[in-house]
Amino acid sequence: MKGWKGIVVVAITLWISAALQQSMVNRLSLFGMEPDFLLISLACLAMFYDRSGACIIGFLTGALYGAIDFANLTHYVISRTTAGFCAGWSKELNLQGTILVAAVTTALTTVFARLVQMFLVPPSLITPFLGATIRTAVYNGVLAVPVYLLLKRVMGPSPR
Amino acid sequence: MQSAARTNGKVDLFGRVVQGVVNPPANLFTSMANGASDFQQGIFHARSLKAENRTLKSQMASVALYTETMDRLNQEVDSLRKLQNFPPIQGKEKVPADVIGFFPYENRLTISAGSNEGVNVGQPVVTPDGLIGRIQVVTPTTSQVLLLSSPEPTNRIGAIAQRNPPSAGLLRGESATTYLLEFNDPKAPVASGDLVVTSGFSEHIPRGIPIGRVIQVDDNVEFGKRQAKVYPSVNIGTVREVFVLK
Repeated sequence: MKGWKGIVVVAITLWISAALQQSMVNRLSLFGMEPDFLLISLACLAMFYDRSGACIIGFLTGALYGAIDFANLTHYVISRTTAGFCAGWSKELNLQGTILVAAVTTALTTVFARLVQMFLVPPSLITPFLGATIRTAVYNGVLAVPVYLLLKRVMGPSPR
Repeated sequence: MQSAARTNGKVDLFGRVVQGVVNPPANLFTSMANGASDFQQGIFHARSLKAENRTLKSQMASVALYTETMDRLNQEVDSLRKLQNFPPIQGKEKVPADVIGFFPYENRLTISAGSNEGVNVGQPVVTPDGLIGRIQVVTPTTSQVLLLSSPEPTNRIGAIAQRNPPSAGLLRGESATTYLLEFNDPKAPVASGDLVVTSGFSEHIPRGIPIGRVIQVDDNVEFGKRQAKVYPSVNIGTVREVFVLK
């Protein structure tokens, strides 16, 4: 999707995701799993764009995350941009744009982004971080289904 | 640039713009979630809520009897400290605030009180169960709380394990569910189950605020130190309202 409609949809999606990320993460925590709304949006939006478009969305996602979190922007920007690149790259696999693909893409994007982040800013304890990453990936994969369906309705079918 | 601003307790321009755009819908989502949660509580727990309300009313009546005496004694303490040229005791005034953001991997909370309410960098943030962290960044209407669980090297506070004699050490975050209390004395008296509270050896944090309980004690023979693992008294995931002590 290109043009103004695409830009507006991306802007609104990221805006709402950032607000949800800021306000709802602890309320939607389930069995120790915490969603990452910005990563869900990144992965789902990346399915409608090519690699460069997905990279830009990843960059914006990382910058947004760092800004609302008052965290260091660098590691968020790098991890989300590379994750966006990979999510956009998956387009070349010529997979059908189904909810299953959306769920798997989102889960893998989550794992990839968190692993890059882990190498840039090593957490104090690696094992709990990896456990939390896997739990978040599963949760994100589930939440990606309605997000993808909504985006598909607004933006038209995914071009894959 | 962002980190430098944060170190100084301020927000950079980009952060201010993004916060300005994101905060209104985030506040809306928070109040919607609070409303839904309260409604659900009201529907399913009406009986216990009514009983709780009755208990709280009777407790409030009892508290009112002591409040006047407490205020008078506090004023006496203040005036005596002033006569002796001691500074006033910090942390006696509580600023209530809602939690409007939670970032578990960054160990931060965003709360709905800022410099307009007199919040400053370094002030402690508490819940009725105990201390959760300190103010790190302040904007006019919101603040960022760095949780005790953060392993950032600067995030250390004085704490004591409450026993006779009390042993004082430095507490730092280890993970979301564990803090580490380090004693320079390798024979510091501490054992599992001890209550850990703030030591008060700080400009902003008063003495005696609960932090957690000791769950494990280890000796670091190499450095001649004793370490105690502390389980927090506050479950951060369920915190909705906090107080900033100023």
